[in-house]
Amino acid sequence: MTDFIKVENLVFDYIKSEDESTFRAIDDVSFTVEKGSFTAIIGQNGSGKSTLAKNINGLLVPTAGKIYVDGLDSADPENIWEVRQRVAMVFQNPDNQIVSSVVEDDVAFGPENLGVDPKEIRKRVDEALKSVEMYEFRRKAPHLLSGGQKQRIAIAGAVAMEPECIVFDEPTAMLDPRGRREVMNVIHRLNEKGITALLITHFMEEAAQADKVIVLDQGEVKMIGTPLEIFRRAEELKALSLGVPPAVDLADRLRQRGIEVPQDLLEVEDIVRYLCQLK
Amino acid sequence: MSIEVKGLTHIYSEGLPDESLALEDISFRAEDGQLVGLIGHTGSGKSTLVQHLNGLLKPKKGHIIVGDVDITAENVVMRDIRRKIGLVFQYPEYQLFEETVAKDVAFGPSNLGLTAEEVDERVREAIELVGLDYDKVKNLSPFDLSGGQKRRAAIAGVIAMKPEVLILDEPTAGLNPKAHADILSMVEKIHESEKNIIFLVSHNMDDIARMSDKVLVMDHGKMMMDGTPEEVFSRGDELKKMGLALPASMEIAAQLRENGFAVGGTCLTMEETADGIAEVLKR
Repeated sequence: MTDFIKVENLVFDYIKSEDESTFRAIDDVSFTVEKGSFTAIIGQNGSGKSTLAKNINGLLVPTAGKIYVDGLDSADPENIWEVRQRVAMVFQNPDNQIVSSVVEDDVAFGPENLGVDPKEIRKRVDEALKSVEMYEFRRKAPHLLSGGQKQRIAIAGAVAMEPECIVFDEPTAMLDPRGRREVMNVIHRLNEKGITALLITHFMEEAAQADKVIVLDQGEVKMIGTPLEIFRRAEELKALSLGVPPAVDLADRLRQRGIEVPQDLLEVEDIVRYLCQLK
Repeated sequence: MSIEVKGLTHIYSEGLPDESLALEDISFRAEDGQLVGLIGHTGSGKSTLVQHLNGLLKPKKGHIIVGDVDITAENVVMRDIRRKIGLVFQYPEYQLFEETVAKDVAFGPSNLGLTAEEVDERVREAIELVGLDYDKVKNLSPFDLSGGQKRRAAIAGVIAMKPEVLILDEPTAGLNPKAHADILSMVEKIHESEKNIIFLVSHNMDDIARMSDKVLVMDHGKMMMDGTPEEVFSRGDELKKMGLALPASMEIAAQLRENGFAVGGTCLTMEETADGIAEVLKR
Protein backbone atom coordinates (compact mmCIF):
# COMPACT_ATOMS: atom_id res chain seq x y z
CA MET A 1 0.00 0.00 0.00
CA THR A 2 1.12 3.54 -0.63
CA ASP A 3 1.53 6.14 2.07
CA PHE A 4 -1.13 8.80 1.92
CA ILE A 5 0.08 10.90 4.84
CA LYS A 6 3.72 11.13 5.81
CA VAL A 7 4.62 12.97 9.01
CA GLU A 8 8.36 13.60 9.35
CA ASN A 9 9.88 14.92 12.59
CA LEU A 10 6.90 17.18 13.17
CA VAL A 11 7.28 19.90 15.80
CA PHE A 12 4.54 22.36 16.67
CA ASP A 13 4.82 25.25 19.16
CA TYR A 14 1.91 27.35 20.34
CA ILE A 15 2.87 30.95 21.02
CA LYS A 16 1.20 32.77 23.91
CA SER A 17 -0.01 36.17 22.81
CA GLU A 18 0.80 38.06 26.02
CA ASP A 19 4.52 37.28 26.41
CA GLU A 20 5.35 35.38 23.20
CA SER A 21 6.48 32.39 25.26
CA THR A 22 6.10 29.07 23.47
CA PHE A 23 4.52 25.79 24.43
CA ARG A 24 5.62 22.68 22.53
CA ALA A 25 2.48 20.68 21.77
CA ILE A 26 4.07 18.28 19.26
CA ASP A 27 7.66 17.19 19.76
CA ASP A 28 9.42 15.33 16.93
CA VAL A 29 6.62 13.08 15.75
CA SER A 30 7.00 10.78 12.73
CA PHE A 31 4.62 8.21 11.27
CA THR A 32 2.87 7.31 8.05
CA VAL A 33 -0.76 6.59 7.20
CA GLU A 34 -1.40 4.19 4.35
CA LYS A 35 -3.95 5.01 1.71
CA GLY A 36 -7.33 3.48 2.58
CA SER A 37 -6.32 2.50 6.11
CA PHE A 38 -8.07 3.16 9.43
CA THR A 39 -5.82 4.67 12.08
CA ALA A 40 -6.81 5.54 15.64
CA ILE A 41 -4.97 8.14 17.72
CA ILE A 42 -5.29 7.90 21.50
CA GLY A 43 -3.70 9.91 24.30
CA GLN A 44 -4.77 11.85 27.36
CA ASN A 45 -6.23 15.36 27.25
CA GLY A 46 -3.46 17.74 26.25
CA SER A 47 -1.29 15.04 24.66
CA GLY A 48 -1.33 16.81 21.29
CA LYS A 49 -3.91 14.74 19.39
CA SER A 50 -6.04 17.62 18.13
CA THR A 51 -2.98 19.76 17.36
CA LEU A 52 -1.65 16.90 15.26
CA ALA A 53 -4.96 16.59 13.41
CA LYS A 54 -5.03 20.32 12.65
CA ASN A 55 -1.50 20.11 11.27
CA ILE A 56 -2.51 17.29 8.97
CA ASN A 57 -5.21 19.27 7.19
CA GLY A 58 -3.36 22.55 7.14
CA LEU A 59 -5.35 24.41 9.80
CA LEU A 60 -2.01 24.73 11.60
CA VAL A 61 1.40 24.93 9.93
CA PRO A 62 4.33 22.94 11.41
CA THR A 63 6.95 24.85 13.42
CA ALA A 64 9.53 22.33 12.16
CA GLY A 65 9.44 19.06 10.27
CA LYS A 66 7.20 18.18 7.34
CA ILE A 67 3.81 16.73 6.60
CA TYR A 68 3.13 15.37 3.13
CA VAL A 69 -0.47 14.71 2.16
CA ASP A 70 -0.64 12.69 -1.03
CA GLY A 71 2.87 13.96 -1.74
CA LEU A 72 1.94 17.62 -1.15
CA ASP A 73 3.90 19.62 1.42
CA SER A 74 1.23 21.00 3.82
CA ALA A 75 3.39 24.01 4.75
CA ASP A 76 3.50 25.30 1.17
CA PRO A 77 0.79 27.99 0.86
CA GLU A 78 0.36 26.99 -2.79
CA ASN A 79 -0.87 23.59 -1.68
CA ILE A 80 -3.22 24.60 1.13
CA TRP A 81 -6.49 24.22 -0.80
CA GLU A 82 -5.33 20.99 -2.40
CA VAL A 83 -4.49 19.60 1.05
CA ARG A 84 -7.80 20.66 2.61
CA GLN A 85 -9.69 19.20 -0.30
CA ARG A 86 -8.00 15.87 0.28
CA VAL A 87 -8.32 15.85 4.09
CA ALA A 88 -11.65 16.81 5.65
CA MET A 89 -12.28 17.13 9.38
CA VAL A 90 -15.20 16.24 11.64
CA PHE A 91 -15.18 17.66 15.16
CA GLN A 92 -16.59 16.66 18.53
CA ASN A 93 -19.65 18.86 18.77
CA PRO A 94 -22.02 18.59 15.81
CA ASP A 95 -23.77 21.81 16.88
CA ASN A 96 -20.61 23.79 16.16
CA GLN A 97 -20.29 22.44 12.62
CA ILE A 98 -23.76 22.83 11.18
CA VAL A 99 -24.34 26.14 9.39
CA SER A 100 -27.68 25.79 7.58
CA SER A 101 -31.28 25.44 8.68
CA VAL A 102 -31.94 22.65 6.15
CA VAL A 103 -29.96 19.40 6.15
CA GLU A 104 -29.21 19.27 2.41
CA ASP A 105 -28.14 22.94 2.30
CA ASP A 106 -25.72 22.22 5.08
CA VAL A 107 -24.16 19.29 3.22
CA ALA A 108 -23.93 21.45 0.06
CA PHE A 109 -22.02 24.20 1.87
CA GLY A 110 -18.56 22.70 1.29
CA PRO A 111 -18.85 21.84 -2.41
CA GLU A 112 -20.54 25.22 -3.08
CA ASN A 113 -17.45 26.90 -1.73
CA LEU A 114 -15.25 24.79 -3.95
CA GLY A 115 -17.17 26.21 -6.94
CA VAL A 116 -18.57 22.82 -7.95
CA ASP A 117 -21.21 22.81 -10.72
CA PRO A 118 -24.78 22.87 -9.24
CA LYS A 119 -25.80 19.59 -10.93
CA GLU A 120 -22.71 17.92 -9.57
CA ILE A 121 -23.46 19.38 -6.11
CA ARG A 122 -26.96 17.85 -6.19
CA LYS A 123 -25.43 14.48 -7.00
CA ARG A 124 -22.74 14.74 -4.34
CA VAL A 125 -25.18 15.86 -1.63
CA ASP A 126 -27.55 12.97 -2.37
CA GLU A 127 -24.75 10.45 -2.39
CA ALA A 128 -23.17 11.84 0.78
CA LEU A 129 -26.50 11.74 2.63
CA LYS A 130 -27.12 8.18 1.47
CA SER A 131 -23.65 7.13 2.61
CA VAL A 132 -24.48 8.20 6.19
CA GLU A 133 -28.08 6.92 5.93
CA MET A 134 -29.63 10.36 6.36
CA TYR A 135 -31.09 10.80 2.86
CA GLU A 136 -34.70 10.71 4.03
CA PHE A 137 -33.92 13.60 6.42
CA ARG A 138 -32.59 15.86 3.65
CA ARG A 139 -35.34 18.48 3.98
CA LYS A 140 -35.42 18.51 7.79
CA ALA A 141 -34.04 21.17 10.10
CA PRO A 142 -30.81 19.94 11.71
CA HIS A 143 -31.69 21.26 15.18
CA LEU A 144 -34.62 18.83 15.36
CA LEU A 145 -32.34 15.79 14.88
CA SER A 146 -30.66 13.68 17.56
CA GLY A 147 -26.96 14.07 18.37
CA GLY A 148 -25.96 11.00 16.36
CA GLN A 149 -28.02 12.16 13.38
CA LYS A 150 -26.49 15.65 13.54
CA GLN A 151 -23.01 14.16 13.67
CA ARG A 152 -23.82 12.05 10.60
CA ILE A 153 -24.92 15.26 8.79
CA ALA A 154 -21.57 16.82 9.70
CA ILE A 155 -19.86 13.71 8.28
CA ALA A 156 -21.97 13.96 5.10
CA GLY A 157 -20.76 17.56 4.76
CA ALA A 158 -17.20 16.25 4.80
CA VAL A 159 -18.00 13.39 2.40
CA ALA A 160 -19.56 15.83 -0.11
CA MET A 161 -16.13 17.48 -0.46
CA GLU A 162 -14.99 14.12 -1.88
CA PRO A 163 -11.92 14.00 0.32
CA GLU A 164 -9.55 11.05 0.23
CA CYS A 165 -9.13 11.18 3.99
CA ILE A 166 -11.35 12.23 6.89
CA VAL A 167 -9.97 13.12 10.32
CA PHE A 168 -12.55 12.47 13.04
CA ASP A 169 -11.70 14.38 16.23
CA GLU A 170 -13.62 12.65 19.06
CA PRO A 171 -16.80 12.41 16.97
CA THR A 172 -18.66 10.29 19.55
CA ALA A 173 -17.71 12.09 22.78
CA MET A 174 -21.08 13.78 23.19
CA LEU A 175 -23.32 11.02 21.87
CA ASP A 176 -25.57 8.45 23.53
CA PRO A 177 -24.89 4.71 22.99
CA ARG A 178 -27.01 4.49 19.82
CA GLY A 179 -25.46 7.66 18.38
CA ARG A 180 -21.98 6.29 19.03
CA ARG A 181 -22.81 3.04 17.29
CA GLU A 182 -24.30 4.87 14.29
CA VAL A 183 -21.24 7.09 13.88
CA MET A 184 -18.79 4.17 14.22
CA ASN A 185 -20.75 2.23 11.58
CA VAL A 186 -20.55 5.18 9.20
CA ILE A 187 -16.79 5.50 9.74
CA HIS A 188 -16.34 1.80 8.92
CA ARG A 189 -18.53 2.05 5.85
CA LEU A 190 -16.65 5.08 4.48
CA ASN A 191 -13.35 3.35 5.16
CA GLU A 192 -14.52 0.25 3.26
CA LYS A 193 -15.30 2.54 0.31
CA GLY A 194 -11.67 3.58 0.28
CA ILE A 195 -11.62 6.73 2.41
CA THR A 196 -8.57 6.90 4.66
CA ALA A 197 -9.86 7.32 8.21
CA LEU A 198 -8.06 8.92 11.15
CA LEU A 199 -9.99 8.65 14.41
CA ILE A 200 -9.05 10.52 17.56
CA THR A 201 -10.87 8.98 20.51
CA HIS A 202 -10.97 8.40 24.25
CA PHE A 203 -12.95 5.18 23.84
CA MET A 204 -10.53 2.26 23.78
CA GLU A 205 -13.12 -0.07 22.25
CA GLU A 206 -13.30 2.30 19.27
CA ALA A 207 -9.52 2.38 18.88
CA ALA A 208 -9.55 -1.45 18.96
CA GLN A 209 -11.52 -1.41 15.69
CA ALA A 210 -8.75 0.37 13.73
CA ASP A 211 -5.95 -1.16 11.62
CA LYS A 212 -3.31 0.79 13.49
CA VAL A 213 -3.19 2.68 16.79
CA ILE A 214 -0.91 5.61 17.58
CA VAL A 215 -0.45 6.51 21.26
CA LEU A 216 0.54 10.11 21.95
CA ASP A 217 1.76 11.53 25.24
CA GLN A 218 3.11 15.01 25.91
CA GLY A 219 3.46 15.63 22.22
CA GLU A 220 5.46 12.47 21.52
CA VAL A 221 4.57 9.14 19.93
CA LYS A 222 4.82 6.59 22.76
CA MET A 223 3.54 3.52 20.91
CA ILE A 224 2.53 2.64 17.41
CA GLY A 225 1.18 -0.69 16.21
CA THR A 226 -1.84 -2.86 15.60
CA PRO A 227 -4.57 -2.81 18.28
CA LEU A 228 -3.34 -6.25 19.38
CA GLU A 229 0.20 -5.00 19.87
CA ILE A 230 -0.96 -1.88 21.72
CA PHE A 231 -3.63 -3.28 24.04
CA ARG A 232 -1.47 -6.07 25.42
CA ARG A 233 0.60 -3.32 27.03
CA ALA A 234 -2.10 -2.54 29.61
CA GLU A 235 0.25 -1.39 32.36
CA GLU A 236 2.02 1.13 30.13
CA LEU A 237 -1.33 2.42 28.87
CA LYS A 238 -2.54 2.93 32.44
CA ALA A 239 0.64 4.88 33.22
CA LEU A 240 -0.27 7.15 30.28
CA SER A 241 -3.76 7.71 31.81
CA LEU A 242 -5.33 5.47 29.18
CA GLY A 243 -7.12 2.15 29.46
CA VAL A 244 -7.97 -1.00 27.54
CA PRO A 245 -11.17 -2.14 25.79
CA PRO A 246 -13.69 -4.08 27.97
CA ALA A 247 -12.76 -7.47 26.46
CA VAL A 248 -9.07 -6.96 27.29
CA ASP A 249 -10.00 -5.80 30.79
CA LEU A 250 -12.05 -8.94 31.38
CA ALA A 251 -9.32 -11.21 29.95
CA ASP A 252 -6.87 -9.67 32.38
CA ARG A 253 -9.17 -10.24 35.36
CA LEU A 254 -9.73 -13.85 34.28
CA ARG A 255 -5.97 -14.46 34.09
CA GLN A 256 -5.68 -13.13 37.67
CA ARG A 257 -8.12 -15.91 38.58
CA GLY A 258 -5.91 -18.53 36.97
CA ILE A 259 -7.89 -18.87 33.75
CA GLU A 260 -5.84 -19.00 30.59
CA VAL A 261 -7.01 -16.48 27.99
CA PRO A 262 -5.19 -15.79 24.72
CA GLN A 263 -3.85 -12.29 24.04
CA ASP A 264 -5.69 -11.67 20.79
CA LEU A 265 -9.27 -11.16 22.02
CA LEU A 266 -10.04 -7.48 21.51
CA GLU A 267 -13.78 -7.41 21.02
CA VAL A 268 -16.63 -8.58 23.24
CA GLU A 269 -17.71 -11.13 20.60
CA ASP A 270 -14.18 -12.64 20.55
CA ILE A 271 -13.99 -13.30 24.27
CA VAL A 272 -17.57 -14.61 24.40
CA ARG A 273 -16.77 -17.09 21.63
CA TYR A 274 -13.57 -18.18 23.35
CA LEU A 275 -15.21 -18.68 26.76
CA CYS A 276 -18.12 -20.63 25.29
CA GLN A 277 -15.81 -23.24 23.80
CA LEU A 278 -13.97 -23.55 27.16
CA LYS A 279 -17.05 -24.56 29.07
CA MET B 1 -34.19 15.54 53.11
CA SER B 2 -35.79 14.08 50.06
CA ILE B 3 -36.88 15.26 46.65
CA GLU B 4 -40.22 14.27 45.28
CA VAL B 5 -41.46 14.90 41.75
CA LYS B 6 -45.17 14.46 41.15
CA GLY B 7 -46.95 14.44 37.81
CA LEU B 8 -44.49 16.81 36.13
CA THR B 9 -45.54 17.84 32.62
CA HIS B 10 -43.84 20.34 30.33
CA ILE B 11 -44.80 21.51 26.87
CA TYR B 12 -42.40 23.39 24.62
CA SER B 13 -43.83 26.09 22.27
CA GLU B 14 -47.35 25.59 23.59
CA GLY B 15 -49.96 26.81 21.08
CA LEU B 16 -47.38 27.13 18.29
CA PRO B 17 -47.10 24.82 15.26
CA ASP B 18 -44.00 23.08 16.68
CA GLU B 19 -45.63 22.39 20.06
CA SER B 20 -44.11 19.32 21.69
CA LEU B 21 -44.68 17.43 24.89
CA ALA B 22 -41.23 17.39 26.50
CA LEU B 23 -42.17 15.84 29.83
CA GLU B 24 -45.24 13.73 30.38
CA ASP B 25 -46.50 13.01 33.87
CA ILE B 26 -43.10 12.35 35.46
CA SER B 27 -43.10 11.11 39.04
CA PHE B 28 -40.28 9.77 41.21
CA ARG B 29 -38.64 10.17 44.62
CA ALA B 30 -35.05 10.40 45.74
CA GLU B 31 -34.06 10.03 49.36
CA ASP B 32 -31.32 11.56 51.43
CA GLY B 33 -27.86 10.36 50.51
CA GLN B 34 -28.91 8.57 47.33
CA LEU B 35 -26.94 8.72 44.14
CA VAL B 36 -29.42 8.64 41.31
CA GLY B 37 -28.36 7.79 37.76
CA LEU B 38 -30.43 9.39 34.99
CA ILE B 39 -30.16 7.86 31.52
CA GLY B 40 -31.92 8.28 28.19
CA HIS B 41 -30.93 8.98 24.60
CA THR B 42 -30.34 12.55 23.36
CA GLY B 43 -33.72 14.28 23.23
CA SER B 44 -35.38 11.94 25.73
CA GLY B 45 -36.11 14.80 28.13
CA LYS B 46 -33.26 14.45 30.66
CA SER B 47 -32.07 18.04 30.35
CA THR B 48 -35.61 19.40 30.43
CA LEU B 49 -36.24 17.47 33.64
CA VAL B 50 -32.98 18.63 35.21
CA GLN B 51 -33.77 22.26 34.37
CA HIS B 52 -37.08 21.90 36.21
CA LEU B 53 -35.34 20.52 39.26
CA ASN B 54 -33.46 23.75 39.83
CA GLY B 55 -36.21 26.07 38.71
CA LEU B 56 -34.81 27.15 35.32
CA LEU B 57 -38.02 25.92 33.73
CA LYS B 58 -41.52 26.02 35.15
CA PRO B 59 -43.75 23.01 34.62
CA LYS B 60 -47.13 23.09 32.91
CA LYS B 61 -48.43 20.73 35.57
CA GLY B 62 -47.07 18.91 38.58
CA HIS B 63 -44.92 19.59 41.63
CA ILE B 64 -41.35 19.29 42.81
CA ILE B 65 -41.04 19.08 46.57
CA VAL B 66 -37.59 19.46 48.09
CA GLY B 67 -37.62 18.69 51.82
CA ASP B 68 -40.93 20.31 52.73
CA VAL B 69 -40.81 23.15 50.18
CA ASP B 70 -42.75 22.99 46.93
CA ILE B 71 -40.36 24.74 44.54
CA THR B 72 -42.99 24.93 41.82
CA ALA B 73 -45.25 27.06 44.00
CA GLU B 74 -46.10 30.60 42.84
CA ASN B 75 -44.51 32.58 45.65
CA VAL B 76 -41.28 30.64 46.02
CA VAL B 77 -38.02 32.63 46.05
CA MET B 78 -35.74 31.49 43.22
CA ARG B 79 -32.61 32.14 45.24
CA ASP B 80 -33.75 29.59 47.83
CA ILE B 81 -34.17 26.96 45.14
CA ARG B 82 -30.75 27.60 43.65
CA ARG B 83 -29.25 27.37 47.12
CA LYS B 84 -30.85 23.99 47.69
CA ILE B 85 -30.22 22.57 44.24
CA GLY B 86 -26.93 22.92 42.38
CA LEU B 87 -26.74 22.19 38.68
CA VAL B 88 -23.45 21.50 36.91
CA PHE B 89 -23.99 21.76 33.16
CA GLN B 90 -22.14 19.80 30.48
CA TYR B 91 -18.66 21.22 29.84
CA PRO B 92 -18.93 23.50 32.92
CA GLU B 93 -15.41 24.80 32.26
CA TYR B 94 -16.88 27.04 29.55
CA GLN B 95 -18.59 28.97 32.34
CA LEU B 96 -15.42 29.97 34.19
CA PHE B 97 -15.03 33.74 33.95
CA GLU B 98 -13.20 35.28 36.92
CA GLU B 99 -9.58 36.43 37.18
CA THR B 100 -8.61 33.81 39.73
CA VAL B 101 -9.84 30.36 40.68
CA ALA B 102 -10.73 31.52 44.21
CA LYS B 103 -12.81 34.43 42.89
CA ASP B 104 -14.58 32.18 40.44
CA VAL B 105 -15.53 29.66 43.10
CA ALA B 106 -16.56 32.51 45.44
CA PHE B 107 -19.04 33.98 42.96
CA GLY B 108 -21.99 31.83 44.06
CA PRO B 109 -21.52 31.92 47.84
CA SER B 110 -20.84 35.69 47.88
CA ASN B 111 -24.34 36.17 46.49
CA LEU B 112 -25.84 34.28 49.42
CA GLY B 113 -25.31 37.08 51.94
CA LEU B 114 -22.58 35.27 53.90
CA THR B 115 -19.74 37.07 55.68
CA ALA B 116 -16.39 37.34 53.90
CA GLU B 117 -14.86 34.77 56.28
CA GLU B 118 -17.67 32.30 55.64
CA VAL B 119 -17.25 32.72 51.90
CA ASP B 120 -13.48 32.17 52.13
CA GLU B 121 -13.99 29.07 54.23
CA ARG B 122 -16.49 27.60 51.75
CA VAL B 123 -14.20 28.38 48.82
CA ARG B 124 -11.27 26.61 50.45
CA GLU B 125 -13.42 23.60 51.35
CA ALA B 126 -14.94 23.32 47.88
CA ILE B 127 -11.61 23.60 46.07
CA GLU B 128 -10.11 20.88 48.26
CA LEU B 129 -13.16 18.67 47.92
CA VAL B 130 -12.79 18.62 44.13
CA GLY B 131 -9.18 17.53 44.57
CA LEU B 132 -7.31 20.73 43.77
CA ASP B 133 -4.59 22.20 46.00
CA TYR B 134 -6.12 25.42 47.40
CA ASP B 135 -2.83 27.22 48.05
CA LYS B 136 -1.50 26.36 44.61
CA VAL B 137 -4.53 27.25 42.51
CA LYS B 138 -6.32 30.03 44.43
CA ASN B 139 -4.48 32.88 42.68
CA LEU B 140 -4.13 31.23 39.28
CA SER B 141 -6.26 32.25 36.34
CA PRO B 142 -8.78 29.46 35.74
CA PHE B 143 -7.68 29.53 32.12
CA ASP B 144 -4.16 28.41 33.04
CA LEU B 145 -5.45 25.12 34.45
CA SER B 146 -5.50 21.87 32.46
CA GLY B 147 -8.79 20.65 30.98
CA GLY B 148 -9.57 18.27 33.84
CA GLN B 149 -8.59 20.87 36.47
CA LYS B 150 -10.78 23.52 34.84
CA ARG B 151 -13.72 21.17 35.07
CA ARG B 152 -12.98 20.58 38.77
CA ALA B 153 -12.75 24.32 39.45
CA ALA B 154 -16.11 24.86 37.75
CA ILE B 155 -17.70 22.08 39.82
CA ALA B 156 -16.19 23.63 42.98
CA GLY B 157 -18.18 26.80 42.22
CA VAL B 158 -21.39 24.81 42.57
CA ILE B 159 -20.22 22.74 45.57
CA ALA B 160 -19.41 25.97 47.42
CA MET B 161 -23.15 26.73 47.44
CA LYS B 162 -23.53 23.60 49.62
CA PRO B 163 -26.53 22.34 47.66
CA GLU B 164 -28.67 19.63 49.22
CA VAL B 165 -29.24 18.23 45.76
CA LEU B 166 -26.36 18.23 43.27
CA ILE B 167 -27.07 17.54 39.61
CA LEU B 168 -24.15 16.67 37.32
CA ASP B 169 -24.93 16.61 33.59
CA GLU B 170 -22.37 14.40 31.78
CA PRO B 171 -19.46 15.40 34.02
CA THR B 172 -16.99 13.13 32.19
CA ALA B 173 -17.76 13.97 28.53
CA GLY B 174 -14.61 14.34 26.45
CA LEU B 175 -12.15 13.23 29.14
CA ASN B 176 -9.45 10.54 28.78
CA PRO B 177 -9.93 7.32 30.79
CA LYS B 178 -7.81 8.46 33.77
CA ALA B 179 -9.37 11.94 34.01
CA HIS B 180 -12.75 10.25 33.63
CA ALA B 181 -12.05 7.93 36.58
CA ASP B 182 -10.68 10.84 38.63
CA ILE B 183 -13.80 12.96 38.16
CA LEU B 184 -15.99 10.04 39.22
CA SER B 185 -14.00 9.36 42.37
CA MET B 186 -14.31 13.08 43.07
CA VAL B 187 -18.11 12.72 42.72
CA GLU B 188 -18.05 9.82 45.19
CA LYS B 189 -15.96 11.84 47.61
CA ILE B 190 -18.34 14.82 47.44
CA HIS B 191 -21.26 12.47 47.98
CA GLU B 192 -19.63 10.93 51.02
CA SER B 193 -18.62 14.22 52.56
CA GLU B 194 -21.75 16.28 51.85
CA LYS B 195 -24.28 13.44 52.26
CA ASN B 196 -26.36 15.15 49.59
CA ILE B 197 -28.58 13.71 46.89
CA ILE B 198 -26.62 13.46 43.65
CA PHE B 199 -28.18 13.12 40.21
CA LEU B 200 -25.70 11.81 37.67
CA VAL B 201 -26.78 12.25 34.05
CA SER B 202 -24.62 10.09 31.80
CA HIS B 203 -24.41 8.13 28.57
CA ASN B 204 -21.87 5.83 30.19
CA MET B 205 -23.76 2.74 31.33
CA ASP B 206 -20.69 1.30 33.12
CA ASP B 207 -20.52 4.32 35.44
CA ILE B 208 -24.27 4.37 36.06
CA ALA B 209 -24.34 0.65 36.93
CA ARG B 210 -21.36 0.89 39.26
CA MET B 211 -22.23 4.09 41.12
CA SER B 212 -26.01 4.48 41.33
CA ASP B 213 -28.28 3.50 44.20
CA LYS B 214 -31.20 4.05 41.87
CA VAL B 215 -31.50 4.44 38.11
CA LEU B 216 -34.12 6.48 36.23
CA VAL B 217 -34.63 5.82 32.51
CA MET B 218 -36.32 8.38 30.27
CA ASP B 219 -37.63 8.01 26.74
CA HIS B 220 -39.77 10.44 24.71
CA GLY B 221 -40.39 12.60 27.78
CA LYS B 222 -41.69 9.72 29.88
CA MET B 223 -40.21 7.94 32.87
CA MET B 224 -39.87 4.40 31.56
CA MET B 225 -38.03 2.71 34.42
CA ASP B 226 -37.24 3.52 38.04
CA GLY B 227 -35.32 0.94 40.03
CA THR B 228 -32.01 -0.38 41.30
CA PRO B 229 -29.21 -0.87 38.74
CA GLU B 230 -29.87 -4.64 38.91
CA GLU B 231 -33.55 -4.16 38.08
CA VAL B 232 -33.03 -1.63 35.30
CA PHE B 233 -30.13 -3.35 33.56
CA SER B 234 -31.87 -6.73 33.63
CA ARG B 235 -34.17 -5.25 30.96
CA GLY B 236 -31.51 -5.10 28.25
CA ASP B 237 -33.80 -5.55 25.26
CA GLU B 238 -36.06 -2.68 26.28
CA LEU B 239 -33.04 -0.43 26.93
CA LYS B 240 -31.61 -1.22 23.50
CA LYS B 241 -34.91 -0.31 21.86
CA MET B 242 -34.60 3.10 23.54
CA GLY B 243 -31.15 3.66 22.03
CA LEU B 244 -29.38 2.77 25.27
CA ALA B 245 -27.08 -0.12 26.11
CA LEU B 246 -25.93 -2.41 28.89
CA PRO B 247 -22.71 -1.81 30.79
CA ALA B 248 -19.88 -3.76 29.09
CA SER B 249 -19.69 -6.21 32.02
CA MET B 250 -23.41 -7.05 31.69
CA GLU B 251 -23.32 -7.13 27.88
CA ILE B 252 -20.61 -9.79 28.03
CA ALA B 253 -22.62 -11.74 30.64
CA ALA B 254 -25.78 -11.46 28.52
CA GLN B 255 -24.00 -12.74 25.40
CA LEU B 256 -22.48 -15.63 27.36
CA ARG B 257 -25.88 -16.60 28.79
CA GLU B 258 -27.41 -16.48 25.31
CA ASN B 259 -24.84 -19.06 24.30
CA GLY B 260 -25.64 -21.35 27.19
CA PHE B 261 -22.82 -20.19 29.48
CA ALA B 262 -24.70 -19.57 32.73
CA VAL B 263 -22.82 -16.71 34.41
CA GLY B 264 -24.30 -15.99 37.83
CA GLY B 265 -24.47 -12.77 39.83
CA THR B 266 -25.50 -9.25 38.86
CA CYS B 267 -22.35 -8.49 36.81
CA LEU B 268 -22.66 -4.75 37.46
CA THR B 269 -18.87 -4.44 37.29
CA MET B 270 -16.22 -6.29 35.28
CA GLU B 271 -14.89 -7.71 38.56
CA GLU B 272 -18.26 -9.37 39.26
CA THR B 273 -18.45 -10.74 35.72
CA ALA B 274 -14.95 -12.22 36.06
CA ASP B 275 -16.03 -13.83 39.36
CA GLY B 276 -19.13 -15.27 37.72
CA ILE B 277 -17.17 -16.71 34.80
CA ALA B 278 -14.46 -18.17 37.05
CA GLU B 279 -17.12 -19.90 39.13
CA VAL B 280 -18.66 -21.59 36.09
CA LEU B 281 -15.29 -22.69 34.72
CA LYS B 282 -14.10 -24.10 38.04
CA ARG B 283 -17.19 -26.15 38.57
